[in-house]
Amino acid sequence: MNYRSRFRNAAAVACLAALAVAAAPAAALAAKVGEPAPAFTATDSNGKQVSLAQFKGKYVVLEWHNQGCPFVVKHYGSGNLPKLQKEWTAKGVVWLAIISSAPGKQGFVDGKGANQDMQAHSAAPTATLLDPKGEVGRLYGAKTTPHMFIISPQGQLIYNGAIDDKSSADPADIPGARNYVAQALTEAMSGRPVSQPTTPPYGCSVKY
Amino acid sequence: MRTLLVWLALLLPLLPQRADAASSASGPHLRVELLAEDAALTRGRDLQLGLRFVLEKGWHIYFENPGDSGEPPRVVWTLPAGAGAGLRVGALRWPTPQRLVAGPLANYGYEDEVMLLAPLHLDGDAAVDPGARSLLLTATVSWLVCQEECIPGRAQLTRTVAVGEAAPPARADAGELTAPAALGPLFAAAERALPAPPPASWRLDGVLDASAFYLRIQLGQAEEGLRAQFVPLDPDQIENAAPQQSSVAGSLLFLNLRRSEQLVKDISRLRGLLVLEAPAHPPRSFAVDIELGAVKEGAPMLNEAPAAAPSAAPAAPPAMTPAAAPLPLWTALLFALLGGGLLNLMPCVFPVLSIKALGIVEMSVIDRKKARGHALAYTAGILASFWALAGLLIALRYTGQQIGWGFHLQSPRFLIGLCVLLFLLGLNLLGVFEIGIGLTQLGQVTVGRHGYAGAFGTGVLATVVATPCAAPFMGTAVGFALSQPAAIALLVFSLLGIGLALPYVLLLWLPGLRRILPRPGAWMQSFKEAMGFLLFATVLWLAWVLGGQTGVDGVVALLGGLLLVGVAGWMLHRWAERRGVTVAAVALILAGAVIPGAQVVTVRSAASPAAAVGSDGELAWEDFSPAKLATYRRTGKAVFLDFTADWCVACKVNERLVLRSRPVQARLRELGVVTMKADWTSHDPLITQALAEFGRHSIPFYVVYGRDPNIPPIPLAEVLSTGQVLGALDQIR
Repeated sequence: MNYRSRFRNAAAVACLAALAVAAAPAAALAAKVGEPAPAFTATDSNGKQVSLAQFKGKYVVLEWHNQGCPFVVKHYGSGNLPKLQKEWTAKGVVWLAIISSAPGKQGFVDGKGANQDMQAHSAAPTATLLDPKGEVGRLYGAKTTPHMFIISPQGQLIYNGAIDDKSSADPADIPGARNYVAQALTEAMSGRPVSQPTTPPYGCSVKY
Repeated sequence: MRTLLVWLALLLPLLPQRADAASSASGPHLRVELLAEDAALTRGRDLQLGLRFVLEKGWHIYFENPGDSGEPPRVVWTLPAGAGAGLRVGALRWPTPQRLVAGPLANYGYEDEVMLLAPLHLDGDAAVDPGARSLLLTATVSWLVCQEECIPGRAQLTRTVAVGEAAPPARADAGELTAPAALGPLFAAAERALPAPPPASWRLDGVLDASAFYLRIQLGQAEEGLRAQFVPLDPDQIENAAPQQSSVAGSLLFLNLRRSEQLVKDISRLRGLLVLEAPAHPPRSFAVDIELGAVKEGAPMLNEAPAAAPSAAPAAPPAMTPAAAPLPLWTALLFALLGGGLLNLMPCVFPVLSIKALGIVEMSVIDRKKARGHALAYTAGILASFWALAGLLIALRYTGQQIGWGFHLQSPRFLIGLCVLLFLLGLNLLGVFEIGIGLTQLGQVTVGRHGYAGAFGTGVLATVVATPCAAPFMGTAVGFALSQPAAIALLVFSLLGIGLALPYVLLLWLPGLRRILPRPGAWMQSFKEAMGFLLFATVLWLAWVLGGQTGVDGVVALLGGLLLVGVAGWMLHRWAERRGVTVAAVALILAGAVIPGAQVVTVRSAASPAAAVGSDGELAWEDFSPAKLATYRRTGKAVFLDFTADWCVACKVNERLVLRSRPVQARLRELGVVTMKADWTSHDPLITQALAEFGRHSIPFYVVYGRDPNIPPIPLAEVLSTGQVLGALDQIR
């Protein structure tokens, strides 16, 4: 029965091709500095799909966010993070705030709530991404809020860690603290290697 | 003037005392107070100060290394001016914390209540204000108290301490939490909760490699049933949420800790608390500082560790479970052959192959040479596909992906493609369409070659449809293969392929065997159509698996794709001759396979909606988590762990026939065994890791953990029998 074999042949080849595509490995382990940053796509607070790939060629900062966490409140209430966001987005850096809180847990908001929260603090991230299933968070191994990652224009992860070196919920600690993110961006943009690429992140746990 | 001074002297004590009553304070969800073990500070001796936190139920504060998140309490001491350096408070002393796990994160902290100690010291020759009979100590305490959410807090606490030998009678301050009489026992308990230095008879060393810390502690004597846990003092060294494996061989304690992803540069020392639990003792903890060496060939501890590390899996730390006995090669190859052969009977493969067998039945004369050529081409097709699959699996494992056999079924897109293929085949078998005459005309000129290509294609197809069905023995063989170097893995997979090919090849090679097949007749048409329905049943089952992973939306997307496929089938039927129609039909089929896959972007993590308590009061199956398992083992509960997935037919069969049978349920209930289910329907690195620790990479798989940590966990085979399960349960009672 020629037609049957021939048909099966074609179908099998076509589906093997689909198989090869579909059998993509599942999410990688947490992101490591010096390796390509894991790709992801998520919906932002305005309902648009945002993916890391569209920012190739630019520095990208990922900031894990939870508006109820005292450590995030420390940086937003004092204006520290909004100031950083404005300063660096003006220099062409893409700043993505990511909310990985699960529904019902602290920090979970819908798009409108996220926009209101950012506006209330005059914050200026390029986009606020909603990750209620925690997929992007787990992909990067985000542990705390805030937890900062910086990705180079070539797609490499160059920083993974805390926002600064004073682990506390007290805004009074901000002026005297060394800001790792600003330091890493300054060094990378002037062509120098990042001196402190991995630091222990501090904050509340991400509410997966 | 003198009158004024006298009045002032009299009135002064009546003025409100600054903060003398504030040796305790309350904040959200906690009360904190500053205590001193004695009311008087003796020169030259330490006076223990205690910072006692009493927490609301469910809330916790953190250890000096809080773990993955959080903040430990901090104290700033203010001592009276003029005392100089002779009066000082030493560093805080932290009691042994608990490990608090929340999802993928773990912290170290304290619940209910805790007292941090700090020694107050006055040098023998320090100058203190002459005439000062008491010193005012101030502690500015800041903390973070958390349940799910975290609330920072701050308080300023003071305490007056008398100087010298005289101990004025203790009097209770207003608002103080602790009565003076309770101080002694409280401080004694706090001292006991502190980690002790390790006994002099101990020898501690360790090794650090790319993935884990391997600690070896030579204890003073052999200890029965000892279990160890490690709490690091410094952040970002170990993976706090990862399970820690400890095992004891005589007086040697081994402890494996997963290395933190954040630890980029190797360290030479590991500091922390070693917490030991044994049936006969209350938990003890020791403050250890272990020197780490580099991994050396033949390093004693690696040779003495119970189970050797699989070398082809760099991402997984070596398994320390005694249950992972290596399989001899010939057994694995035999299992592969058997498994491959049994695959022919699985509902996925059987329809396809039985149709091919029908083809042989229909042939009145068989050209031996051509038949053998067909058989070889068919085998080649199967082998090529298995090698491709094996190569893919090995490559993925090599890059450190945590996968095992069945990983393809964890991908919704693959499931959709497979459903489309099987649906199409089913339609074809039911006679909805035949491929156009135009194509067969092409084939006539080169019948021989085309025939062989067809046979090759059938081989490939047989492998593709075989993937969802894992036959018995196959799992063991594949598990073995994935833990071996690439060459041996390919050998095992080749034998799997040969096993799969064998029945059909035998039929072709030995035409005499045809005699065992029934005579051709009208029944063949009905049989063909019945096979079509069998394929539809397989699609139904795969759709159910897909539903478990992606919910109703995914299934509807699949049905939409199948609708397109149905239309394509009809087009091929209606306009059989036209080539353009064939192309359009193929395009529709591809669309049906790919578009639903693109819609289904997110994968729900394996939250099986299976009822917590089944009907008839069946035992509830808890969701697996390494932390929960560790807790149950620590508290001496027996656990039955079932690794399963929606797409694993053998698992479902085992569950229905054996695990849910009355005798097994009764025994499980009687022994108070906790039943836990590790659902691998969707990708879950923790479950993959747990399987790998037993040297397994496929399911079904079952582990029985006994109450007694002395007895190693008992793994059970793929094909369960009631007797086997009851026997294992008997062993652990």
